[in-house]
Amino acid sequence: MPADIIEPFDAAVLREANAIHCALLGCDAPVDLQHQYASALRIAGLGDRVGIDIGRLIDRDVDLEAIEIALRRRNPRNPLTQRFHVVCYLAEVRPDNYDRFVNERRRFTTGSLILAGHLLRSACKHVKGRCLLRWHDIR
Amino acid sequence: MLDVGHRASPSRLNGNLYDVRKSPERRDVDLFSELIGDEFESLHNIFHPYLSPKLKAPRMRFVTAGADDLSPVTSDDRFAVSFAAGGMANAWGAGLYRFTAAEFAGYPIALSDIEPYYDAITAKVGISGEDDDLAPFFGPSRALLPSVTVPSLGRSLLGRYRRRRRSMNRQGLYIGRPRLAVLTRAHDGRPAYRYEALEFFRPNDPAVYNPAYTLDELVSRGDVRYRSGVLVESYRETPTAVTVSARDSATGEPLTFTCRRLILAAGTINTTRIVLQSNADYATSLPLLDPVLSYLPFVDPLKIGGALDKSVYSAVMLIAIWNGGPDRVPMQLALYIRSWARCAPTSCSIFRCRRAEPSRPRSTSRPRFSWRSSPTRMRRDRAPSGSLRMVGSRSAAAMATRFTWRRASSRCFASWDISAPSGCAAGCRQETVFDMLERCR
Repeated sequence: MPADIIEPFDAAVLREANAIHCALLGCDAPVDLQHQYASALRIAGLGDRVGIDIGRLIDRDVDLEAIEIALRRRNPRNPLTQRFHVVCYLAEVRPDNYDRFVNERRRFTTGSLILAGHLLRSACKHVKGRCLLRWHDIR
Repeated sequence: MLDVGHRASPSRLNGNLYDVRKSPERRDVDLFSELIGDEFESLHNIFHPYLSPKLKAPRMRFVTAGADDLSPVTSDDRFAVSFAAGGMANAWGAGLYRFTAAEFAGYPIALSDIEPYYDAITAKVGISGEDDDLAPFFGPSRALLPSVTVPSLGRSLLGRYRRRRRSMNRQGLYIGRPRLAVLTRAHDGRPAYRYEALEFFRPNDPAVYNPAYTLDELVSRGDVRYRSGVLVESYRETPTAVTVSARDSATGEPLTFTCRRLILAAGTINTTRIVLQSNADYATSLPLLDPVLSYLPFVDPLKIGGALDKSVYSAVMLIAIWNGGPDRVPMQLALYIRSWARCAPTSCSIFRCRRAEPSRPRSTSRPRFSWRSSPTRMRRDRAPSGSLRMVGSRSAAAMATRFTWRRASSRCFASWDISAPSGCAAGCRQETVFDMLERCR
């Protein structure tokens, strides 16, 4: 990322990037990815056009992934899904995430089991997400 | 030759995409700049209306750069207009197909009149392909280069087709290799394709034909005087000459050129725009024919967990023709490989279905465009010479099914995007495609 893009960012946006990264990849987001995330939202003009109080959800330690799945079924272009996409794109090009996105070995059994497991997990997350939407009154 | 002529900025991507992604430091590549872009160009589709994946990568944005300002189109449909040298062929799939004798029926020229020129183009461009079941649809295979290598998913599909060929042909389905302007061996001073899977990120692969190569060749030989940065707006014919009115695409300064003969080749929309503008015709409504596309996902369960084919040509790998419909109009299906999943990387593929359009508009439900010029619209569209506006029937437009499922944490990505944008007629086509796919199983 060019130096002129790196500038002070809203701490809440950086925290948001980290929370989404944790939900997606199970670990903290690198600092430069957080900055890239904040820049991407700023360039897209989405910084203050959220519609969902993501900060509040993070404070309450809500399962963002479940909420995202439920919201996506309702509207594929909702702000939370857009943010998940941004983090996903930014994470995908990082060499340290290469193995998460590209399989170089043939693993039929493992692959099938992972796929089946995550189909089931996704269904559960969807149900959980719908409950969370009601619980937190997210429309 | 007058042209706006945008050119690509140089890319540092070198080598196989996946090798670069794995260890960019070895090749001194900044992955963020090359794959995402300093202006986050690759994130375009997250926030903005859909742009083809071949056009949104940072180094590919030059293909459509400036189009909104230079050629504003008001439309419910999405058009990509290019002002790049070489035009949209900077981001094409490189498929080159001959018209058949049946398609020339009713025209004042026959296939035999044009075949020598097809042969000349084949020899010049270098087209790869094979003498297979698609030869009756794509023409003779003489002078073709060897086919582009098909990934394992395509090979397995082709193998199954060959085992059931007779039955499938009876039902009107034929599968074979595409005819691609991709060099599988060095040809005409250009190197062979290196299977680096960079088509979506790095422009101007010398093995994939681009008309800009021929343009540069003509300019360097002195056969053509080329001037870039010029936007042609209109022309005026006199008994002795043609006067062309243009403007500098950067400064807007008016320019005038004179010639004995004028050949307009500014693309479908802009050629039409120039002709209508030159004739002060703001009332004519013209049909715009565009193939109806549908995307259908395929999953080969036996390939789940397979290793990714890293050395592939990223565009089409197989073509299917189906002419078993009630009206026997051939439908073309292009098979692409899509490998989003870690656990199922080579199990997913997508057929892009394209129905060959009739030679004449046969339905009033086709999108049409008309020429409009009024002070209000001119200001709104920032178009000093008017703008094109899409009108016509898209009211039944949205029989679109969209289901996208993408979860990074699951390490499994799948995407299913099916749309039939032309209402009932397209809906019928969807049904016939599904019907056909059922039979293929």
